[in-house]
Amino acid sequence: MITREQVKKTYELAMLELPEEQVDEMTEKFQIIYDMAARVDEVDTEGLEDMVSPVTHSCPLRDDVPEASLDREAALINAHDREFGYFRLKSVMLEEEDV
Amino acid sequence: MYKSAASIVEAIKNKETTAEQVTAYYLQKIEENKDLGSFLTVNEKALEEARELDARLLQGEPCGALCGVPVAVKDNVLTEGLRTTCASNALKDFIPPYDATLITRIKEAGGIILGKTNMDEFAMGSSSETSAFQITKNPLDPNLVPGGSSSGSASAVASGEAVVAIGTDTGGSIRQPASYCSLYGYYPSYGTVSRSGVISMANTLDQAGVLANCVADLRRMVNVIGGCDEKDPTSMREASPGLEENPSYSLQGKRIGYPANLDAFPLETEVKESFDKGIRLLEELGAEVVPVEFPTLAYALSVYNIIVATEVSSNMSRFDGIVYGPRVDEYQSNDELYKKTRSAVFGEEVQRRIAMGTLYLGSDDEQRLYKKAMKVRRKLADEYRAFFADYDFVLTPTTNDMPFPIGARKDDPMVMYDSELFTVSVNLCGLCAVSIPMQKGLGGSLQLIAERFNDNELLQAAEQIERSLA
Repeated sequence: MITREQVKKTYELAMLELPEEQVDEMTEKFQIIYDMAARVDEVDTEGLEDMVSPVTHSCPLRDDVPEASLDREAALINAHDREFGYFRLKSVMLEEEDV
Repeated sequence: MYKSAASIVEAIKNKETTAEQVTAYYLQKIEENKDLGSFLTVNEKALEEARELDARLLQGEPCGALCGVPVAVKDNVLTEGLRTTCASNALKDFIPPYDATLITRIKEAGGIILGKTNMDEFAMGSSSETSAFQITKNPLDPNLVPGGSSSGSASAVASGEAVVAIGTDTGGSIRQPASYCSLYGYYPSYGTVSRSGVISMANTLDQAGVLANCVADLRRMVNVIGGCDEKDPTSMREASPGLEENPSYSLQGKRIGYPANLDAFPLETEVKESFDKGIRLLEELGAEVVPVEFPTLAYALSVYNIIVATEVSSNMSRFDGIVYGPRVDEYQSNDELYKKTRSAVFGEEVQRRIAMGTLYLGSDDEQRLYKKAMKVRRKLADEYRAFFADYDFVLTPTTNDMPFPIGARKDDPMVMYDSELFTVSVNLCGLCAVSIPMQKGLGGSLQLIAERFNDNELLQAAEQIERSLA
């Protein structure tokens, strides 16, 4: 049984806000989806290995040699805020006297 | 109007027309069909790019496989300099700094990118109704949804705004809209097409593919966009998918199985009628079509729901308001920045899927359902493997339902799963499948499924069915 508290905690962990007035509705929707998902419990999987991906070949790695990458200007072009070639955020560190 | 990509290439090769004229024709069609809402962004440079191609052809450049073919592209595929939004406010002004590998290959083959098509937000949905920007209408009946999440790609081809379109498919997002819009839709074996530059939803299931009016165009497109790519280690190791036309291919003597317990699934009448018609047609073509038990198929949707949500939850963590996309102005900590921004830019469906994935991955019950789902996925794949030892193809309806009225199922959290009943197992097991419309206009479609990397025979069989339906 999915509880309101579980839903609220899950949104918190997922870095999402869930307004209090939507918690009941979302709990109901979670329950519907969870009940469908939990049907996997009916299947006997004794002795079976996990299947993570359909890929069966070993994924090759290239040699560890530095190569030219995306130009810094191009990489920053979609940033909301930037300065001196870096992403910029508001200061979120506490000042020493506030600690 | 051009019937196929091949007819455009031939016409340009024979100097009956130019890439510029063809592109202008389709841009005009897009303008005339604006109300359908197929496109989010039209490529303003398309005509200029077509003119440049014409100039190169005049100088003796050979015609590529997509010479002058205008291609519509789902808006989750990166196109350098051309806005790519995933139909989300999280990327509403995002300009990719590079092309996806498949776009590079289309361009190298002479294709012209017409524009970016509407979709469900981050490909989560099956109707376009979760798009942050617009709802796409079904060209066969504008009161109905076109399916999704490759909604605009389907409506663009069905309305004649494009001759072919790129879609992506995580659980049926090419095949379901192809069925709803009476088109051919192809999900190649996982790994056939590089995922480099395709914005990830669920890495182990996502695959780009094609929507078109004929099987020949599916083949032509995937021969261009497919093959090994060093930027995607999960891509196939062969340089090309090597798909070949075979007019003498025959379904005579082929063994085709369909789920024996089909009546246990909720099939709408038109879908059932089309499916029965398909079985009769295959039998007339000499195939042996028999019911086969697939006991684990009934659990495929449950497995899919868990795997998709967990992979979505992980993939979507990159949208934090720092590297790209909008950001809220008021925040006191990084956590607050993330929470406020993500909650402001994601729609409800996307947020719910991220949260569900977080729940499945949570440590409270040691990820019990996620671990169980990976084992059931293995069981399903084993069942298919055993089946293909004795049979050539699986046959199912593509969807169990017909396109529904816009708005009718908007608040139903199961809507995006229900219509993918028969398609998700293909993605889970890395198989290949094609959706084949059984009539022109609204109606059911057949889904023909083949073993992993047996794409060549899959398309040859589909083409024989297509010829028989003509």
